[in-house]
Amino acid sequence: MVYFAIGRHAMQPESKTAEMPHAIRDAARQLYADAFLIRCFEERLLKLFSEGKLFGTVHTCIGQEFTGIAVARHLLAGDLIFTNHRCHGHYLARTGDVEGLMAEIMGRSTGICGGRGGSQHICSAGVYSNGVQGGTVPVAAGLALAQKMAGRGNVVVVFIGDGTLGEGVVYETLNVAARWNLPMAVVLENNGYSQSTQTAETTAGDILKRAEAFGIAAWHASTWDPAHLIDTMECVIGHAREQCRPAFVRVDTYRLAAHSKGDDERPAGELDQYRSMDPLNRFSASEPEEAAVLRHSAESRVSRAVELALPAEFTQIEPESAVSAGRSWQRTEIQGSELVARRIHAALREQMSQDSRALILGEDIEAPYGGAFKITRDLSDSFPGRVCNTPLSEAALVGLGTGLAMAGMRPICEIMFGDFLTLAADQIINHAAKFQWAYNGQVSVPMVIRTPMGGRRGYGPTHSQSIEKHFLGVPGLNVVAIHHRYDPYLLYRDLFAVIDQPTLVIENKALYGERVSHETIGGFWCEHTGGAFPATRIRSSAVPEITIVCYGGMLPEAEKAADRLFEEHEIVAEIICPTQICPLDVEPILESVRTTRRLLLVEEGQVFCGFGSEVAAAVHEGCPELRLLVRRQGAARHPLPASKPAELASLPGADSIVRDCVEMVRNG
Amino acid sequence: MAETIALSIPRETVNDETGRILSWKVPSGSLVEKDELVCEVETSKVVLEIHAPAAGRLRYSAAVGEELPIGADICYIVGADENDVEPVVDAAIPESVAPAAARLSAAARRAAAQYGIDVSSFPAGTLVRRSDVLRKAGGPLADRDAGVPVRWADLPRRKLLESRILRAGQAASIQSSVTSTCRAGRLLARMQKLGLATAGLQPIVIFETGRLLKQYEELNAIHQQGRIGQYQQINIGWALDGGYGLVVPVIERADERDIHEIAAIMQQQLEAYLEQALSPAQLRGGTFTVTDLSSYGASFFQPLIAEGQSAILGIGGGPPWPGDEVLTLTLAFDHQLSEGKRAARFLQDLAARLEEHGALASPADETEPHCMVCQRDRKTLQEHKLILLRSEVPPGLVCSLCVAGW
Repeated sequence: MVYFAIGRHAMQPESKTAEMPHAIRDAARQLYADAFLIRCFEERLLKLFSEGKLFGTVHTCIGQEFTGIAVARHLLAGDLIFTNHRCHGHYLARTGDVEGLMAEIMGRSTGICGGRGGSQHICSAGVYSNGVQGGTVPVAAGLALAQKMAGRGNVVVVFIGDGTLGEGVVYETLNVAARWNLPMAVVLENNGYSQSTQTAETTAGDILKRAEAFGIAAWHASTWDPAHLIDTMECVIGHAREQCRPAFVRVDTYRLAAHSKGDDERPAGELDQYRSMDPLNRFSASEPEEAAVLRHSAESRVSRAVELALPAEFTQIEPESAVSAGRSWQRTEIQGSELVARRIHAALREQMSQDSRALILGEDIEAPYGGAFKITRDLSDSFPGRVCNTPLSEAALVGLGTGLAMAGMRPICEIMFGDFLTLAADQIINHAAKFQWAYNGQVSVPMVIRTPMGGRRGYGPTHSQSIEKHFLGVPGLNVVAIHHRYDPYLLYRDLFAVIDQPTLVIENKALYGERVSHETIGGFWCEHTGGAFPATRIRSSAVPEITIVCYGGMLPEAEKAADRLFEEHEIVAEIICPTQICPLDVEPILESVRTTRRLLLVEEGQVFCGFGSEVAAAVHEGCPELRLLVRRQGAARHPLPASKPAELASLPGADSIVRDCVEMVRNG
Repeated sequence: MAETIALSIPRETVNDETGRILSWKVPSGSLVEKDELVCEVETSKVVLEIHAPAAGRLRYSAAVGEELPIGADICYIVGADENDVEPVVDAAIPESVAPAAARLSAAARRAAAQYGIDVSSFPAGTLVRRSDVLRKAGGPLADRDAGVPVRWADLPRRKLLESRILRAGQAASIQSSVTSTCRAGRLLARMQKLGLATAGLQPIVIFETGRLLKQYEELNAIHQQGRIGQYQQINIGWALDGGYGLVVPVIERADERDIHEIAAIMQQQLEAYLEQALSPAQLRGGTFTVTDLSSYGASFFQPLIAEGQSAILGIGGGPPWPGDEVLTLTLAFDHQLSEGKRAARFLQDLAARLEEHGALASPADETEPHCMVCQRDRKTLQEHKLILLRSEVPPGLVCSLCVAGW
């Protein structure tokens, strides 16, 4: 199609250097020098791979070098790049850091990410990359938004491929970038293949028209005319910078090596054709001595980098430190008895007013609507420009949050219903949660994602779930659940003060209408441990016979159950309700279980591989010498029905908790 | 946020120390207007109406039927928000109780009502089960729970006090007893002769007991943690139950008084008792007790040692053999201080002395010289090889036994 047409109409190579004016000749020489450096680096990687000195695989950009070079020509200090798995050329063009990148790819602790990120996950000097296609784009948009808010005229360039056009999040981001006027340049390297599949097979319509459909200015160039490519990039980046608008450029190119080492099914004839069109090869053919000098210089540099890397030690892994919170219990005293929703709102308001880096993104959160559950109420009136309705795109909004957080802001992302977290799963798990560790601590993502889970309202299968368990155990992601016996205001306040990792805050729809109060059931009182994310204990003066562990929205049901257990069955229960559910400090639970020897774990989500399973295992590991009676309770093993009585019967509640406790106490 | 307002039991009369919640007029958790009637409280004289001092949401802190001290909180009014929604009242959730009160399970509440256990007697803030209530109720009756209808009433304070004294006495001692019989002969006739008919036998018994206790000291003592505390006085109490309850007036220094004196003191105490004017001082300080049921047909009985004492003498009427007055003397004693043989010897000596008194009741003795203290005549004294002496102060005849003191 269009692609091959361009191929056949490749631009003529530069005229012989001897005939060029000095400045241009120097510029051209520099251009080829840069290109050779990248190519030699990549070729050396392939060789190292064959020698068994590299781990994983490498996605070389041989044949595509000029794209990165053209972009780098127009970047200023403070401009950022977010690239992908084929990032070496982009990185080297921008930073020239051969040594750091080589050490990184060779898995050494001297690498730019300490060997943790490797070839695909780099971070240094304002260049980032990640290995999942598409998801990089909203993160780049977040960085761009931060640039815009900083007002220093910087831009963010994000590199995607033709194959990336299959991922929806790209379009979600183009939409919001255009709507919000973000200074982001999207550089699409169209090399005709998505791994092994030809673009033509998988991509409908026109590439540039996609951008234009969002009102984004779009350009078209190729790597076979580097001069034109450079000029085009000037327009593209200039547009983004000066207009503070997104820009899009399609760069036709061809990779001369495999997608990743060792997988190439393309016909040899095709490869030969593009090899002959390749500007570097043509330069080598027309200026062999010059080329040889440049090549030699590049190869020496690369070799030196390899020699530097070889003796360096491999990446070391630090042993994990155990999670532990305060051990002492203090009586919970809460002034007044306001609604949970009000306390959350108060905390958000306080944070917005105290920290100018804070901002809130979400769907329908602006006044007067104020959010589906009215949590954000009037905040957009009080803090104009910092409480923003996003389009319906959980992935884009969380990605924006990630980029903002990386740039030093304190974003709070509201996901309207916890069920919709799935739409942001890639952003949360593969991007936000990974950057700090993968980039060896060079960035942090102090982003809060808050969302209401839970049923009991008859909203049906996709609006009633408690699916937080699917986000438990993701390294780099904290998960916290609020409840009404510890002031959510305090929890949020302390979270904002200490946050250093993406934190998922699970709220509960039914809990929004509960009163925050320390007044619990008769004869019992509330205590909590120390620290920012305490565990709550509801206990009496009597010796407990069974421990009930729950979190969030299950606490009112557990309380009702404990009330009835004593009233009707004279069984004394003790409720342990942590706020931080991952990572989890089991010690408060162990303390209780050592007395009661009976443990009932209650969650509103699915029991299989759920929170209860984790606690049960951790408790056994924590006190292996005790003989314990353990049971779990959770939602029925089918989606939640919309018919409310059926829904209630599908969820654990006071009845089911009382039943299990009575059985456990009577029989064991 | 508006403050929380607490409503409490008001003081309306000088006499009342408590008030009882008679009824709630609105459910706990509901919104109330200013001046709305929320509760009725019963005092000894009137039923008080409690009105809300301000609008707000009412939360109980006491239940119907609870008796609370003056000033105790009965409910709270908390500030209500405009957007407040009336909470759905779950019928299964009981009304909230004052934070300080104990919480009883349903079964415990039923047991408390059944056995009349005061709920406020349980420590504040604790959980109380039926077994806790039964433990407090105590005894086989509570455990049986036979379902027989019962009508409950409070015991008089006096009875509770008496129980307390007896309980303390029982708890402190290891009780044993010995019974002897005594052929009293015509002891009653003797008392008549002395002009002490109305006093019964007790003055003589007390008189002799008082003097014997100087010999049997351990019966006039108290045991405590392996030590014997010897009372330095002999104060004998005598049980008196004349229609105004059982009391034990005390005759101080009974060993130093003669029979007439003792009888006079007893008469005075009886009169005071009948006027219900016995002072606490007259009931205090006893070191030994004598209790007489012989005139009520009791053959013999088991008296209970009182708190602070280690022995008690019970006088019974003996088997009803006509023609001979027989008394049974039962000495209950603390085995930590004495033992059976001693008790028996005491009773033997006492019986002997009483028999002597009886023997003195022959009509021929009117002008026979006799000891003014023990009333033994010359003949009896001679039999016992005692001397009758003339005393200047007080003037009269006194035998050598009484000079010695016993």
